[in-house]
Amino acid sequence: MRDLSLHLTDIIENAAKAGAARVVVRLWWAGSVFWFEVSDNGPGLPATVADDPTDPYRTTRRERPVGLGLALLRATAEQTGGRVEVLSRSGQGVRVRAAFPMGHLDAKPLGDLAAALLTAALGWPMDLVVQVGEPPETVLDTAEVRRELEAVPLTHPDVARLLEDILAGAVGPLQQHCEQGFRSLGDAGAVAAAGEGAGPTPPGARPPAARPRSTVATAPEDDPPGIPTNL
Amino acid sequence: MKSLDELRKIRDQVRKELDLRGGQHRAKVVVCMGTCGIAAGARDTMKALMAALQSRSITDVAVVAAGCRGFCEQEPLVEVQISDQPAVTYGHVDGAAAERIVAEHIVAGRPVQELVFR
Repeated sequence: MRDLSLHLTDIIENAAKAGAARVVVRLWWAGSVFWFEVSDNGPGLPATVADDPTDPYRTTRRERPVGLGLALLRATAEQTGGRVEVLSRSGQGVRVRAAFPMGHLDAKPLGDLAAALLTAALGWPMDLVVQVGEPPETVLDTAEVRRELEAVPLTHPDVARLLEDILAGAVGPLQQHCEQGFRSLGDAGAVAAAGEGAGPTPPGARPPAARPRSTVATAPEDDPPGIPTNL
Repeated sequence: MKSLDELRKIRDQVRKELDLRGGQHRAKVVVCMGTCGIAAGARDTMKALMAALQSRSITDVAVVAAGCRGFCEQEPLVEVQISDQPAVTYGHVDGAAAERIVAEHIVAGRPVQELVFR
């Protein structure tokens, strides 16, 4: 994929195709590392896939026995010292979390994150929650939007324009942080799992090598996938 | 979440228009959004379709995403389903093609033959 926003579109689409009724997308920075996380309340990964979800030959696809989305995501993350975590529990859902050290010379651009979120909100029937920052702040919950709109569809041009504005406003600071050398948001929060090193990495410098411990498929008891009840 | 007031305003303004047409969509445009489609630019295609419909204030056509159908070399693929007509599938749909499909097929009712995928 040309940029990270296309990976985000792809992972959200996995959740939608699995029949999730609700998907929570989180976007945040930890210094110069960009994270995104997509959690869903779908059926979870079947055991054959959960063993190694980023293996392209393990897939729930029916047209052919190859699924490239997670494999490509892992390649993109790891080529700059980042990683992917896939957590799944049968009946509870899946959580895909990916870290991208953006100070790396080979870092792909963020891309159009707002477009990824807007097309996901409008193109799929599930509810989409978008949270930005660490700690996460909810900037959009399409379930709430649908409740307010009653019979008016999200796709109505006036609604679509409003959603586009909301998402552009939320995503703007994330993009500025990148453009301004990872200084505008400060060293926001601790990285969720250790490995990327402390503090922002100056652009162009090689960050500390992280062991790419991707594809954690077993959900720990204290950090289950799926969607917290308060969301 | 902010903007609840704005949503309510839109709801009140649009309600009357929906009552007039009974809330149904007369056409559905399905954009293949599998990994192959996304890599080929299907998300830009979807945005272009939505923009083309918005610019003409068309509110009774739904643009939705679907998974890969297996014709990856033809991506981005778009299927136009107008209620009482056979579905038409278009291949290699970029922004310019999306604009043509909305103008010629959805608005004027003439499928764009040279873009149709057989």
